[in-house]
Amino acid sequence: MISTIAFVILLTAIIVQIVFLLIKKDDNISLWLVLPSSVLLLVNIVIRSIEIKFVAITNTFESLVFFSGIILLTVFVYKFKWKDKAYSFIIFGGSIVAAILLAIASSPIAPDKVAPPIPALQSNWLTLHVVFSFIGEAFFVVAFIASIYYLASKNGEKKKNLDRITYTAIAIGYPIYTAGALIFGAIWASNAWGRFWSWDPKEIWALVTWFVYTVYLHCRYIKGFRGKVTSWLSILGFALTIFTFFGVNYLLSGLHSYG
Amino acid sequence: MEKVYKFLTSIKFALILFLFIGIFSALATLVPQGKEVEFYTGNYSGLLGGTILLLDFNTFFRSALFLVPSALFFINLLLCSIRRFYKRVKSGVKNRFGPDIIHVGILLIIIGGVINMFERQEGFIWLDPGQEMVILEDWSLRLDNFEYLLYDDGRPRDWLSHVTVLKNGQEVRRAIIEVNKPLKIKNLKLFQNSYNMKDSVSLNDSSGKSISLESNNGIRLSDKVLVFSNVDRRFNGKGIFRELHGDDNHTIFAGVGENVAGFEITGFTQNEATGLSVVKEPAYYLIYFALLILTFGLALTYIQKIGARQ
Repeated sequence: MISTIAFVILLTAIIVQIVFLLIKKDDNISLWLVLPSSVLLLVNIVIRSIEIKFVAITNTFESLVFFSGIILLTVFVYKFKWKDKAYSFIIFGGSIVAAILLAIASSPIAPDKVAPPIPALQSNWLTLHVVFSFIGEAFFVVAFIASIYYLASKNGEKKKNLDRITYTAIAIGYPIYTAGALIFGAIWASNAWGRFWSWDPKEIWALVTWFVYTVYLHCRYIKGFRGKVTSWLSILGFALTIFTFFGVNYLLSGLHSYG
Repeated sequence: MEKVYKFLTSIKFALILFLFIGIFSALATLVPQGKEVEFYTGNYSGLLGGTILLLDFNTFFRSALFLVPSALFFINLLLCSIRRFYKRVKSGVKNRFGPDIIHVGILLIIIGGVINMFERQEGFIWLDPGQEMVILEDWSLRLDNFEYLLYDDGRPRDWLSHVTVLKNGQEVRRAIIEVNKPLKIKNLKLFQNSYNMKDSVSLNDSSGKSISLESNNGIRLSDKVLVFSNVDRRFNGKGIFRELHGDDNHTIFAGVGENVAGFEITGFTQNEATGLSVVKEPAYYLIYFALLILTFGLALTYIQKIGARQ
């Protein structure tokens, strides 16, 4: 119910954003709809956590709700802190991504049953692994949107600004994602299964995603690679993030068949 | 020669290696790993199956296709790191050194990975309650009790192996092994990996003599073999038996107090055995330390960057 209300508020925010985009005026209204939507989603996770006496991010539904909430919170902060018109596009793109994730969360592939975790998932390292991964990936969403906007834009000043937004978003998201997806994940795996790394499909695709963002950060030191090349890398990185989350779960099998 | 050295230690080469390793690692997830040869020759076309086997793509992460570029990346990163360090010392410039710590962490992880690739050992043991097993010279492990806890909806909540560790026959300590909480004994770690429910049936023959049969065990009678399979807990709680007469075999469901092949069933019991993985991982502390270094390097990079901006 709470997620449904959050979704309705988010859809309202998207409508407002579309209106402002069409009339080409700066949107300072929709962020005040995005924020409560984000808060409700995260409160839903807190309520479920209290019910199961464990941090409720152990299945696909909870992961999608949490991820959407964090994305919305991130784009809200971006728009709130930097009133630049470019961030209207960021908050619009972030809202669309979150809305798609919530739509998937309400589909049959993500049952919303509240259930405490099975033994393998009863670990604080799991909580750190998932939370940090999603927070890092929320910044990758910002970078993804800024990169699309960069490639679509013809204004030199705007492109410069968007390139900077992409870079700073990845610069923030990368260490958080590295800590969550790789470091905490490896420690959890070591405690659960006795090996830091199993070359499981989920692990491999998370590593490939990390490779792409590592290449992105290093490409900025190579003359001629900034701008178009790095924007495409950012888009590729986000596509791999989504594939790592969904594609691996439903197309490939391994140890990570949890959420 | 200098050009070659420059290229081998360049960022460009590192990025090429990243992309190569990344692309082929991703492709490796599309090919089931570690199956027998017949799996690939049977499930893939002649050319594709042959290519997979020729390139060792079926064991990609131990193949030259993976190990050679990884080794080149290790050399590239090592030489790059040394060059950066040397430049800093020579110029006296205080650059941000967070990335250097990250690089050291990655190098140590790769070293740890190589050590584990050759030296890591893993085994598996089943223990019944009361059973003791030697796991190391002078050290043995006894399973005192095994608990299989369920949530109200029937899903597994936890598996607890209550064990006693003994040295030279003397009890040293008691512990509980559960998922995510392994037990460390010297250089071994024991992980809760599996469990097994073994049913047993108690039978009385016509003279009142008592016999016990475990799951999938049988008795040879004059004209047939009676085999006890297990207890059917899903439907009627009765025991499932099979009578084998030559090529004929038929299934019988029978409960306590009922008769099967001339025997009276006096009771069913269930024994739970625990399955523990036993792991020896020589590079465990090295990799753990490397992960801490990596975390520290990431944090430092971030802090130094914010500091520089301000």
